[in-house]
Amino acid sequence: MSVATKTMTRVRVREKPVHQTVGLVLRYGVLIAIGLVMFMPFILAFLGSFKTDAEIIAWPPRLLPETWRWENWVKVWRTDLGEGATFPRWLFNTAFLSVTVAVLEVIACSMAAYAFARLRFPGRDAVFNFMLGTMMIPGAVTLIPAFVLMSKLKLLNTYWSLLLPGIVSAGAIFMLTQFFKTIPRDLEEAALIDGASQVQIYKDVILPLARPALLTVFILQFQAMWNNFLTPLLYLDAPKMWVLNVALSVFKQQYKAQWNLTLVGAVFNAVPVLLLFFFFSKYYIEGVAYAGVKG
Amino acid sequence: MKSKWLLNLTSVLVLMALLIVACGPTTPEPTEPPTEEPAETEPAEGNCPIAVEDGATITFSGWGDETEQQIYRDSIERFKEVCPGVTVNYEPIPADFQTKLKAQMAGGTAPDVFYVDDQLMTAFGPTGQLLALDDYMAEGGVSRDDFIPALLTIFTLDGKTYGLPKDWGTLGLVYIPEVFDEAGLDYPTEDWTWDDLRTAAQAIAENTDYGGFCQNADWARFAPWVFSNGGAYANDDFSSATLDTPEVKEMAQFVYDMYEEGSLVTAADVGASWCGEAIGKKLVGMTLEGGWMVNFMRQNYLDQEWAAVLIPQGPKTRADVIFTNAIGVNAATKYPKAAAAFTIYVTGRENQAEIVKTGFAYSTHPDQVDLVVDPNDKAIASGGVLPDSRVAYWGPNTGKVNDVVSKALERVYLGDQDVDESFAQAQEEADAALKGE
Amino acid sequence: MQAQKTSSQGSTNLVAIGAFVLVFGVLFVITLTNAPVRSTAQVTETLGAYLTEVRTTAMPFLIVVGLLAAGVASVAALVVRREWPDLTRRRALIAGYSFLAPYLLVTLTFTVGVILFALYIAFTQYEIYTTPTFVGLDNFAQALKSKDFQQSLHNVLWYAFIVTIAQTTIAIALAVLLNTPMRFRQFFRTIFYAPSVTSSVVITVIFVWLYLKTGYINLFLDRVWNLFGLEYKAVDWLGNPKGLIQLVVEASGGKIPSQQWYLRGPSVAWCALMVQNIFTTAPTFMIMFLAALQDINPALYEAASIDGASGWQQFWKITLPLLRPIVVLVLVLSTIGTLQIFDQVYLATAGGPLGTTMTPVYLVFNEALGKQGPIQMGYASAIAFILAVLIFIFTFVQRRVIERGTEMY
Repeated sequence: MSVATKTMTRVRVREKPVHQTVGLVLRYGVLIAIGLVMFMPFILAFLGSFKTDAEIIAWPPRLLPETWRWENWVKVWRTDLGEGATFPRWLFNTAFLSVTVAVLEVIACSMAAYAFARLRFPGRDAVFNFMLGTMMIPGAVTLIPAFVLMSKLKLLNTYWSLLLPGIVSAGAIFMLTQFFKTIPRDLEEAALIDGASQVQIYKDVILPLARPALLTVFILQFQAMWNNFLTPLLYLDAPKMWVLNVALSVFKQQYKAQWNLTLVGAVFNAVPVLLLFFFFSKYYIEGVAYAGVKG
Repeated sequence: MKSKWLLNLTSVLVLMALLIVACGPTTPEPTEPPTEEPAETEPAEGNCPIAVEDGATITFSGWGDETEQQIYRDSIERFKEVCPGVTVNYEPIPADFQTKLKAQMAGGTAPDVFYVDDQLMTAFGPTGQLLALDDYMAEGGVSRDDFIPALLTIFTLDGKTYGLPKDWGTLGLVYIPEVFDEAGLDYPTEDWTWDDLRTAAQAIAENTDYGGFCQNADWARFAPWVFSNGGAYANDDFSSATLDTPEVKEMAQFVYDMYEEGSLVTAADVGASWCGEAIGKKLVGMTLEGGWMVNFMRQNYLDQEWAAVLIPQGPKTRADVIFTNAIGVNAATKYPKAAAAFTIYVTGRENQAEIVKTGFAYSTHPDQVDLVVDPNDKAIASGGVLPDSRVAYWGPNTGKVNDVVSKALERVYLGDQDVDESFAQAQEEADAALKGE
Repeated sequence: MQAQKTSSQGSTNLVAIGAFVLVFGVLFVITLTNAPVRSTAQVTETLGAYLTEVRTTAMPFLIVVGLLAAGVASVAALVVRREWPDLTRRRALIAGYSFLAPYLLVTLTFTVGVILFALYIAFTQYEIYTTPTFVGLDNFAQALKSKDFQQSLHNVLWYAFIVTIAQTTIAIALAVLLNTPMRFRQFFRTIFYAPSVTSSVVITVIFVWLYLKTGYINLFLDRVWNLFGLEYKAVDWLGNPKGLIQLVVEASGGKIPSQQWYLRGPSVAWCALMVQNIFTTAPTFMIMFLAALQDINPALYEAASIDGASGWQQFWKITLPLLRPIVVLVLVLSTIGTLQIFDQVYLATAGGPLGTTMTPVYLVFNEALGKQGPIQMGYASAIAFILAVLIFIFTFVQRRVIERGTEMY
């Protein structure tokens, strides 16, 4: 993958025959329709979060709320189940875990990728293939035994239970390895001649050049941890330690017919990731594409 | 030559490693929780049920919303007056209680005293995680006869008591007087039978826009029907299911006939998520619900008038289903006496009398049943003290067996199978479940 | 010279032994933490208590894994012995494994160790508060005989089949649609991808709400039906257990008896969850296809249109074959993902109605946490392994069958 992004050359069309214009309109029409379909659930959820209890279960359901009940949002924000289990706390848990894991992953995975891509040592290919092999292991197998391990290590309901296993991701290592391989060796060779150690090369040469890839890893892993449900469900089940996903699943049971409140929780959960995505969509998309295509 | 040397070295080191583990601490750690010397305990102060350890600190946990939490905080205050030397830390778990407690138990961080339901009894009882309370009960002058007998069955194992029932609930016939007025019917009475119920439901369905009788395909709501016909889901020693029996199938057929003729509806049919909501929204005339309706209606549908009577009579007897939970003690607790004292107090007459006054739950002592204040609640509760009323408990695999019954009813409701087929299949599935498959 | 060589030989051997001890030590500690013993307050209270428990109950596990660890450690020692004398090679070895250290430690503890534990308890009855007792193949036999498990496999196979095909087709279609030069392409690409970005919990909660009898999906269909002058009866999507094939059969007056439940096809509720999943995951695959499409040399298409090939022909003869590796990847990823579906089932239907949305991972979860009966971790582990074998077989076959054609290109 080239470090610079490709730019599309625009083709200037002087004449537009009628059928081409119709085709164009049709195409845009289809795209807009699909876009609406894709985004509609979020729009509806957002609108729904402002509705009253009666509106939310009325038939037929209206599109816009009659009154914009900000109280729903306040009520959800003020949720307090006692013993420190509050909504802001859950938001903090989720954000803290996502950022920390992403940072740790960038460090640990780039170290491993550097070893695979640049260093030559016996067993390198064996360990690399081993790593690829671990990607094939279905999560279902390790789910419950990992839970038992965590409880033995007394890490349940601590952040470590998610941070420790979270710092390795075979996918991230793989992607970074491929990327590192494309970095030209001249700079490194120059540094080696100057007597730099491997660590220095890693820190001062490779990492700066790999910024886009590292940023992509950071973003993707942030998203993965923010959206993680099953592992926090098992490991962090003390109400104080919940992440937003787990809290949302409880809301759904607790509020039952009060969908407006549950939807507030859903929107709260979705907005940060969506915002991150819209601002950094380039990295997201190239990261996913890269992992899939060049792999 | 070198590789052989290395091989020898390898085996020696492996053996050494294993020996280190094998010859670890030579005296095994005590597996019994340390028992305090009698000299260190204070004599039973005031009304403290039993002599507790010095400076005991215990944690107590349960589920429940704010109302329930407040009730137990008050109970802790009362306990403190009676046993001042004990510090009780209350750590409620509002959601996913059973899962969390099982995880805590595995990690060694479970509370000293906690709610025990049938699921936790299944997980902790046979595996020795609960403390047997009989000796402490004897010391505290509490006997099993103090409690409604049906409530203790779940928490008894090999003749020992592992939990003291803290409250219980049951079902009664809940109805809306307005609907009966509109249909020109007399209100249900405590002499009613299922046939009377059916007649009334038919009349309501025919003459008004409301549903007659609301009941989902639910093992819990179906249980009183079965019990009143002398049936049960499994036999007495839980070795096999008793679903493919006339007692069960007759009642299933009765319920299905009502569904087919339109006098019985499910909550979903009228647009509610459960039958209590259907009453609240005045969508049906009657249903079977429990004492929770008092608070539910007061909080959500204050303007809707409703009433309740005793559960109807069946062909053989009148019997109700009982739901109950207990309080139990962690076998690994460091303060068994304090924990047992707390358990005995909270489930004792003095404390339960206070709880009943709040309308939260019924006392588990037979002589306190008439302390219930609300008349509707009282009518419902009287179903629980009927001699044939029982808990829907079928051993450690209760959950699966009950689920099989719900599914059998679902199949019948959906017209997937007729009653005979569905319950024959249910019999097979329940037998497998009872064997732990 | 001779003396120098032997002395350096001696110090190398010492280092090799040190390496052996280090590697074996680390592996052994990992093994100890993963040892299958009962997990209760007494055992986990102190390290001493734990070790005693391991000694008394988990020796077979320790011995087997200990031998494996010794094997690995020996290899490590031999490698060290070979590389140590040469300074540069020694440095490379140390550097390599130092950089790999975080990855190796975490993976060995939380993946390898855990899998060995899982494999061991799959052959035992393990109720977590009691010591695991060996039961041989009983767990596997019980799983295969269990109707719940059979139904979960049935469900998940339908799910994988339908969702994979639908996702892949839609993803390719969307990618082709977006592949032509146009304004706002980035914008559309971003919008299309949005559903994939949020968590499964958010999507499921929103969809459960949309699927309500009084929800928007029924509203939409109601309006559409009304357009054609037809009456629409609101469907309780997530509560409907009727299978698709069953509906067709019943519409023509037949009936599939309950004993042959496996002939009924996926239920309406299951299909509703499938739609939700397709909606969420197709965009991710669309991105992959889009990237691959952009790699295709446009000259190929120009040459084809000069030869008179239509757009459709170009698609079939040029685009699809060149996309084959990505198609394989997408199929494999999709299969692995769909066969393990859990989140949506847990949140939306809890395995109902009538068990038509039960999945193996959900079953693992329930059995291991004792939701309806005693805790049965050994049984849960056996189910997980059966599923893993199934996944492996599927992906292996897929890669073999489809990749066979790629050599041509």
